[in-house]
Amino acid sequence: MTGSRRIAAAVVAVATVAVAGCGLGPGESEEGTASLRVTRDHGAELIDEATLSDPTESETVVRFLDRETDIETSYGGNFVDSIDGISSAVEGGRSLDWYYYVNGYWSPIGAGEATVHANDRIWWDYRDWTDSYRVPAVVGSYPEPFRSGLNGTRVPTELVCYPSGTDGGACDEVEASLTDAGADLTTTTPAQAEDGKDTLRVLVGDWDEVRADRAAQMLEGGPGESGVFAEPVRCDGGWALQALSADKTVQGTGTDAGWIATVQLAEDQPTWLVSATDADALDAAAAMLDEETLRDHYAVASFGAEPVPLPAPDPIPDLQKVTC
Amino acid sequence: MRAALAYSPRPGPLGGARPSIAAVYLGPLAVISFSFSSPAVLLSCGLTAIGIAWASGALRPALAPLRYGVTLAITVVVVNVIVSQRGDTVLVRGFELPVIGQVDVTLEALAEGGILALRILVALLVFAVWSACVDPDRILKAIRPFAARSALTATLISRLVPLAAADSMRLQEAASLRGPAAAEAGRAAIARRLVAGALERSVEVAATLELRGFGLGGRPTRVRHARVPGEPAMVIAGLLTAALVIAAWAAGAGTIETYPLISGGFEPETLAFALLIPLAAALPFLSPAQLRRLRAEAAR
Repeated sequence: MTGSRRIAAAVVAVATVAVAGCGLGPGESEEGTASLRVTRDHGAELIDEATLSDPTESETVVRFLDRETDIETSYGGNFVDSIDGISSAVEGGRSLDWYYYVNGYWSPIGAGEATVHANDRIWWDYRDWTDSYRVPAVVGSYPEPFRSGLNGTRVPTELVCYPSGTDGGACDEVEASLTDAGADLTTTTPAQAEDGKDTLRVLVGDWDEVRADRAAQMLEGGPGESGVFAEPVRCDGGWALQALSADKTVQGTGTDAGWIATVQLAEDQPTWLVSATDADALDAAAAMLDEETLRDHYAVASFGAEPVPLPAPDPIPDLQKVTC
Repeated sequence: MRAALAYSPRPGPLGGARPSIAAVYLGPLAVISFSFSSPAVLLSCGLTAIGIAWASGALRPALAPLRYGVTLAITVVVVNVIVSQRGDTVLVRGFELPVIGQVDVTLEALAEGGILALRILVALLVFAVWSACVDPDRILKAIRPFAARSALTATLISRLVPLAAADSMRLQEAASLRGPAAAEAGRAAIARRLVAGALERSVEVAATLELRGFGLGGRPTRVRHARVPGEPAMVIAGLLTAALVIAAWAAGAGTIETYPLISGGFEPETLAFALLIPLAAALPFLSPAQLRRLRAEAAR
């Protein structure tokens, strides 16, 4: 075989490998409606929203976004620099950028590679990432990820009920909400609970009990470790929750606080925390597990009154501040 | 001695014009090639450049760089299609490539690549016309009052580089004529002889420059060139094209959006802009004398 023939054969071989498995046109569509929300400042302001019926096989997050908004991209469309004129920036020493979540999961791949599936909830948020670059999961797309999972594959859910959750009825309320959401649900106790490698876990109990879980413990490490802008702190022999703003300023501390937040240990599935400073506040936390209350929030807390988004606004309404 | 660039004296107003006038005339065309994305405008600009080259008797040297340009343009299209994952009209999906991963080929990425390629070709054409029609020595003379040493260096390079190339060819010919029994003269040996020859020549050039007083550092005199009859028309044409560019910018004409869907690029104001570019550029060639010359050229 001559040199040129060898080259031609190699080119044909590479081309054959390249086109294997590819198809012409946009591909088949999947029945269902995907949604898109574009917000800024951790979901505080809604910029745009849209829906997409029956997405095709070739529908990607960036294509969906491109169709609905005015964007500028780099890396061939994998990195979104600007949406509707709002660009990556450094303002007053704080770094701001666009992040996207699919069904509440932070996506580690470029938006040009992430495929849109039926019923996916895609959320783009322009936020300050100076103090928490990685927020691996958020609650704002509820009932996702319990209903559809990720990449079109449903993920089983394990509801872990601690004694304080079972006694007060908070666990029943969470179970009902997750069942309504369409979760593939198993209810269990902490002793029987599996690890979170392939299972979405929802831990329900007061903080004294829940903090025994390795993933839950990340919350005490602050936003840099957990991605949650709240931190449980010791207070008069019990627990209080410090609600933090996006620049980690303490906006308020409450001893009767309940919260819903997500943390993620290494490569595990996210762990949802429905917890409170004490058993009395746990019912209020469980009551927040609904689509309306959680929409567009990274996490939420309750200090005995209206739910408060986390990072916390300044001031937090009706908060009886305590000093620990 | 052979010129370093494609230039040779040519008929017509552009061939005889001063470099500054040629810049006023061709500059707006270069600006169009970089600033507008509508295929209609880019094609019009490219055809205008080809027309100017033909009317100036420089069609062949103006088209010569396109050989390399077409290869570059095809590369740009292919790379854009592979790299850009934007665009709504998916032609081929799930194309798997090593390192890059899964690639979707979209019509919009193809169009964006095509526009980039067209832009490259048109810019190349405009600069090729400049190279073929504007005397580089006159450019260097025009630069001399402001940057004497740079002008001198560029002048020397424009002469010595082609001379070294000619020397190399002569050495290779001489080596091949020594007969089959002679030992082969390798590239290193020819390169050594070439460098030695170039150093000798450099010393001679330096001595000549010294004798002519270049070392005294006197201020070079400004060379005034006589006006050429077609120059006023070239200035008017250049200013007219510049005015068209500004008007198109103000009207938002001449652009095309490729993502997420291809839109625009052929609106009435864009087409009017595209149509007026060659008309403005034709102005210097519309005098009776020029028309007679062009008719004779066409008849040949």
